[in-house]
Order: sequence, then structure tokens, then C-alpha cells
Amino acid sequence: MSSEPTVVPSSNGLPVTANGTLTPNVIQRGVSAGQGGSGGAGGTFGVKTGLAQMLKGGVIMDVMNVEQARIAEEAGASAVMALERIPANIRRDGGVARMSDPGMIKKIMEAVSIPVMAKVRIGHTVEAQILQSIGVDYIDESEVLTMADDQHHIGKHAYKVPFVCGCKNLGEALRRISEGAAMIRTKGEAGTGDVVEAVRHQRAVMSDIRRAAAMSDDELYAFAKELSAPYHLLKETARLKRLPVVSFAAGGVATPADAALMMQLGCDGVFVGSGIFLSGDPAKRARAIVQAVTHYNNPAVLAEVSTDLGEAMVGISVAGEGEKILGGRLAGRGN
Amino acid sequence: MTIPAVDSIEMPEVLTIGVLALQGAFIEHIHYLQRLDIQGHRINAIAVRTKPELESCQALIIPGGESTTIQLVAAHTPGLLEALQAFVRDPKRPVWGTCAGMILMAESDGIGGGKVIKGREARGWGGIKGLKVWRNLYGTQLESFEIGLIIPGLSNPSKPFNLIFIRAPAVHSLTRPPGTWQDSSDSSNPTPVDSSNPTSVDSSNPSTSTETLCTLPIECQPPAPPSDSPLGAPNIDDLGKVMIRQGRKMVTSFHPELSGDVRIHEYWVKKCVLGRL
Repeated sequence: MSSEPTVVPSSNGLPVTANGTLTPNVIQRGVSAGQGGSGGAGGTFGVKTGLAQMLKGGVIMDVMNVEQARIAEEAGASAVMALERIPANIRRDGGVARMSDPGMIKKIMEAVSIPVMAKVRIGHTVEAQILQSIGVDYIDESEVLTMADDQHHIGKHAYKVPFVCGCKNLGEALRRISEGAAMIRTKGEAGTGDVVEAVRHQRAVMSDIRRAAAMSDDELYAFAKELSAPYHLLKETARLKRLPVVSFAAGGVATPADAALMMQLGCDGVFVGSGIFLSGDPAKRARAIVQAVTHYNNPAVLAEVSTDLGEAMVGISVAGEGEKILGGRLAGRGN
Repeated sequence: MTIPAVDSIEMPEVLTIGVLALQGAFIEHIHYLQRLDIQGHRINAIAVRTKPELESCQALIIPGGESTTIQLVAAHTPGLLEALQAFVRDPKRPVWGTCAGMILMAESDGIGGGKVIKGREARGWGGIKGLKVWRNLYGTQLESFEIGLIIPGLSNPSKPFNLIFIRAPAVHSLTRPPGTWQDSSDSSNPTPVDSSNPTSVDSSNPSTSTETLCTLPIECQPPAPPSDSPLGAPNIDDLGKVMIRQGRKMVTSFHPELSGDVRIHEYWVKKCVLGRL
């Protein structure tokens, strides 16, 4: 190993070495890590997508209070979504659904070690600024809440905190990534316990990716126009044969088998909203879904974890209720 | 100074390297291993989710993710947690832990930080002797960052390596088993820090000699954790150590698998798995 410190320029021109010495030696510990200061760069797209990479193969659970957050963490959730009302309750209550009380979100952040996410209304830039200032780890710009802007989504590149957004198809996913989303999820139909819409959205995304992967450049230009998606992101997606950011399933997952189904369809992980804490034995169901996402290709394990889970959430059949579904079709919000 | 080669163990021409695939960024490690070109060997990188899969491996990577999730899924998979702990503790088995993997490589009483419920404290798997870590010491996602640094010892060493820290853990303290210490990145002090033991590099027992391969510049180092925790007082001089090797074991508190650069994977395979000088 070299005994001479090797010097490389840091972002502000101060020489930095791998042995921790720095000239001039006046800067204090921890003053700039993550703050985009002299040492490291925070809030870069690599750092924002990086956290989503760490969540892969995991389950992100909706929780409404500290007790539920602890149950989720102990069951092996890789993150929690803090919100005052889970989607099924939003459907039941009707009215306008908004960002949760920041005090409630902060209590959950203090109670668990895993990352904490929270939801803002589509296009509500101030709710996003508030959540960034209290230090949540991820923001979900979510159709589950009432839309604040029916024309514009939030310009997400401007924030240091990363965003996850829902999609129904490839064009919508790429538009969100173009706006700065560092993670994508299916919209599904939240609060129903019916997985059919999440399956439809994931199949639509994967089918369009497979089509794009087989296209020539000329065809990709035309396909980008058809999808209303930026060409460069479509080109990158075709090259990777997957979305260029982490993509999770969401909206209607209620059982370990549902979760494994979404993984087999190509999702990187699963959000479970109302499905856990509206079921008979939330801790047991949460643990089972976590196991199912790891062992999604192992039917013997899936059979074991699906046994004796108690009652699943009752659920609402999306096909049975159609447009009259309680609380309306949430997936139609935003495009 | 150069660390002595680890005990030479004949490795087969086809190296089966497992990546623990219970949760987290395991597929990136598999892709990076597949990109390596190691003279004399072919690498067969596999995802490890069960005890039989682990038993087929010569070496193991524990990836980034959520350490609590990885620990719980391992405990709920029959026989896996015990097999992992035995694998990680066996000095002949090459193991590398990144981020969450580094937390799990700590001593069994060596995990601090996080919101712990009494009686449910996280237990390390004991891969690196004397290592205590503090979870999320760098803070929340808003404090996550990346920085380019020179890491001597990698191939093409003048090219900076992009270190990506995501809600990263930090070394709380790295105690120094007598006669086993060297610190190649501490160029201002090439002699062992433990002055009571002037011959502190014990080349006869390379499996426990410990080497710090990369330390963050002071302004990027995390704040010190509290000194009244069950882990005891932190060692301020250890907080910035982000890449450590002890014999066939290695830990990084950052994510080489997100950097687009395979040089740390190459380093680990050559030095820790194959024991090359």
C-alpha cells in the first residue's frame, strides 16, 4: 500500500485524501456529510435511487401509529409508510384526504430504525416541502390522497428527499421518472384488497418494456411519442429491459400469495397498505408477507407461511363494484 | 506496508460465490461478480436464500438492505441463521459485508444505535473480531451522500472510487487484539498505534490481522455516538473508517455495488477469496 497520501480534488477544490487528512485542517467532523458541502454530495440522483435499491426484496407497510410501526419493524418491514388513515379508511370516510399531521409522522420516525415514508397529494409542493423539512426518508406523491393539482405533478428533481410515484403503464412511469421520481410503484387500486389492478398495471409496464426492447431506434422514437414519454428514458429502459429505477407493487396486496405473485411478475418489492392492519392477526400476516417476498419462487415456503394466518381484510371487488366503488377509482388520479 | 497473504487455501477453478439474497441490493453484487475477469478462475455467482445454497459456496457477500429485515428473514428460514453465523465466524471462509452487511459482521454484542426494544437487541454474527458498529450514525436519507476518494490497493489506484453512503452505519470502535494491528491508510504513522507492542503486525496469524483500507476525510465523518451506551465509549479515531479487512473478512459501510466500478469486488476476490498478495 502506498505510504504517501494520494490527493484528489474534492468538490470545492480542497485536497482530500483517503487517509482522512485534509488541508487546511479547520473543518469539523460531520459538518458537511450529506449537506452537499465541501466533502460529500447529498441529494444526488444516485443517492436518491440508492435508498430504493436497499429497499428491494422487502415489504413497505402502511402504519397509522407508533404501535403499528413497531409491529411492522419487528415483523421485518424494510420501511414503513406513516399515514393517519390507511386507504380502506379513506374510502370509508370520503371527503378530502391530505398529508398527515407532521407531529404524528415525527413520532413514528422516533419509534423505528427503518426508513419512514409519508404521502403528499399529487402536485402539492408545499406538503412536500414540509415533509422534507421534518426529515422523512421518502415521499410518496400519491393518488390515494385527493389531488391538489390536476395538471401538474411536483418537480421532484428540486428536492433532496427522494420520491416514489404510482403508475398504470410504462408511459406514466417514465413521465414520473422524468419529473425526478427515484422509485416507481404500480397504482393498483388501494384500499380494496383486490390485487387485480396491480397485476394489470405491472403486466402493462412489463409488456411495453418487452416491446420496446425489441425495437429499432426509429421505432423507439415513434413509440416514445405514442407513450408520451421522453425518448432518452425509453431508450434506457429498452437497453436495461426493465425500468431504470426500482419498481414496487402497490394497491390491493392482501396475502403472502398476492405479494409473491407481484414479485413473479417482475416487481422489486411490495407495498402493503390496508391489508395488514385490517386483518385478523397483523403481526403474523406481516411476517408471512415478508417471508413470501424473499421466497417468492419457493411454493413450499409460500404454503407454509400462508397457513393459519387468520382472516384477511374483507376487501372490495373492483370488477364487482365497477365505477360505483366506494371512494371512487383512485388509479385514475394523475396521469 | 502490505498485509500478509491469508493462509493459502486451494480454491477450485470455478469459484462459487454466494450473495445473501434475503432482502436488499443483492442482484447488483451478482452482476458485478459476473463482470470480473480473474486469471485462472471462473466465478459462479449465486443468490443464497437457503442453507443448502449457502453450503454450496466458497465465499459469501452480505449485501446492503435493512439489517433488521435480513436478520429476521434468516431467523425464520429453517437452519439458515445458524449456518450463516458459523460461515461468517469461520476464519477460513471469505466474507464481505456492505452497509447492512457490515452491521451483521459486527461482534455479537457490537451493534448500537437504532431504536431498540429491551430484550430484542440486534446481535452481530461476529465476522470481524473487535468490531462494534452504530446503525444509521450518518443520519436519515437527507444526510446520505457520495464522495470520490482514492483507495490505495485497488487496481488503477490513481482513479478515485465513488463511495455512496445511504443511511450508513459507522464503526463505533475497532478494538485491537494484541499483536494484530496495522493501518495502511494511516500514512503519517506507519508504525503500529499500540506502542506497548512494537511488533504488532503478526504475520504468523494473518487471519486476524486488521487493516483499514479507507478512511473518510474528517468533515464527512459522522458525529460521535453517545458514550453511555451498552457498547461503551466510542473510539473517535475509528468513526471515519469505512473499509476494513481482517484476514478473509472485509466490511464497507458504503455501497461499491452502486458505484458502477468493480474494483472493490476485484480486490476482495483477489485478496480475501484467493489470498493473493
